[in-house]
Amino acid sequence: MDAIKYFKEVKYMKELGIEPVLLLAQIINFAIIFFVLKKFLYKPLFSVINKRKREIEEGLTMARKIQEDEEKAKEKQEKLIAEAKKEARAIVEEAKKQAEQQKKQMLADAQKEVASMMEKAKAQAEAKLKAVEEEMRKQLVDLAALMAEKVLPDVLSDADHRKLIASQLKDLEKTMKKSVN
Amino acid sequence: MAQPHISVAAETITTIGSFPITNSLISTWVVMTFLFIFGWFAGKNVKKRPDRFQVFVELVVGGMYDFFRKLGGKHGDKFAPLIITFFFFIVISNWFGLLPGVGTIGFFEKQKDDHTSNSLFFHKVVAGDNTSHDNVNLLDKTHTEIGNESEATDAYESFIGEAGEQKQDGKDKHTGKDSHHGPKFVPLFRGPTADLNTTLGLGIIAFFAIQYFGLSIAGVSYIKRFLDFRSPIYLFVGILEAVSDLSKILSFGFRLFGNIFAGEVLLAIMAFLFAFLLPIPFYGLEIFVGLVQGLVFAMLTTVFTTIAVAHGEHMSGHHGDHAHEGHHS
Repeated sequence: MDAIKYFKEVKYMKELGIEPVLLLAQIINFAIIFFVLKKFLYKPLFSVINKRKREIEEGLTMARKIQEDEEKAKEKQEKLIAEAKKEARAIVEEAKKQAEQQKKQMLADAQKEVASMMEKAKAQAEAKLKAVEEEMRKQLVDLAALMAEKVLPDVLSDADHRKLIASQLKDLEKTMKKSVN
Repeated sequence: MAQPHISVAAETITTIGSFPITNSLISTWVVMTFLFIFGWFAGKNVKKRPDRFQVFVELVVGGMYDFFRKLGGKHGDKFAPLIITFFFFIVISNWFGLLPGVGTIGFFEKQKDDHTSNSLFFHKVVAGDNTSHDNVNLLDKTHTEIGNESEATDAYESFIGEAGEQKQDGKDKHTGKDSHHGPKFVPLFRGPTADLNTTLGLGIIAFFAIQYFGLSIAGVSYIKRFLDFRSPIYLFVGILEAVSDLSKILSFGFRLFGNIFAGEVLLAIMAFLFAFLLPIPFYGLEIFVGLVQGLVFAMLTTVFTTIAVAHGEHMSGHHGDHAHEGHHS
């Protein structure tokens, strides 16, 4: 009975084609495939894929960072330009103001100079006038003396004459001075 | 017209010592060679800036890797390489079985009365022949058994033409004149996954892979899944878990074998009914089925592994810090 049972079981296994040796052989075959593929395909391929993935991620983050930096820089630049414009305007304003002031100053100076020059010229003219007056008085005295000499030699001695004329001239001078002043 | 050739078992082409070289084993070697050459070409010169071929490889292999890694969750990258090997081996094997010439190129072998042949039909002959010169008791027993069996498998045998004929010509068989079937056709190649040895082998590997990853990732607490002495109920549940895990070998193996073998039978029948145009839609279907079966096998392995790992981790988180330490170290 047992023999028959055994025979039957084995027969079924055989009909299904199940053979322990072949089963083992196929397991080994698959194991070989797995290890060969793992060594020659998966390892290099996945390492490269992972590396590339990491690099792409790094690149993306870097690009984002750069973009952010750029934006920041742009903002900064704009700010700077605005500031510079403001400053420039202020400088121009200041310069204008200064120029105005300088102009005024120069004008005032010029006016002052002109005034002083005019004063000087006046003084010079006055001095010249005085000198001319003195000269004329001298000549006048001489002329008067000459006339008196011609008209009055008989009436008065020479010495009297001179005394008289001198006193007369002094008076004249006094009156002239008064009139000038 | 020749009858369609259908055999559940892979045929032995030759034997080395006592080791049978079956046609599906030869096909497995062909598939292996293909995978080796592909893997070597694809992996020998990987560059950071890929060429066309590398783009294709990355799309297929890398895409599958990513898919199963994500499916596997937190520890997905640990078992994804094994899973995609399952996937590629199964899909290439399935498709190899569809190549023209596979299952049709072969040779005729004169029937011999030896036990090494595995075909369903042939065993009946053996059983019958035994009767003529062996133990008479055994003869009767086997004979009646074969009778019952042939009734039970009537539907099956009805399209295995040879076997059907065999039954009718019972007399001939006993006289030893097997004139009606002549030499037996043995195909040189057979889809590797149309052989239970391959599919059950894959199931066994998947089973051990699930246990290995469960144990290595979840740690000692993984054993609690099967052996939990806290209460009799948990002990019973553990036994159920163990049985359910063991049954996965069979479900993996027979699902894949059943789908692919059924596909090959379907194609053979269609080609037998009308050899032109009719099989074409079925070829399209079988290409799809081959891909889907590869995906199903790989996805189920991933899911079972993920569950095993998660179960262990869940258990360790639930009771006992000692187990916790164990799995974090």
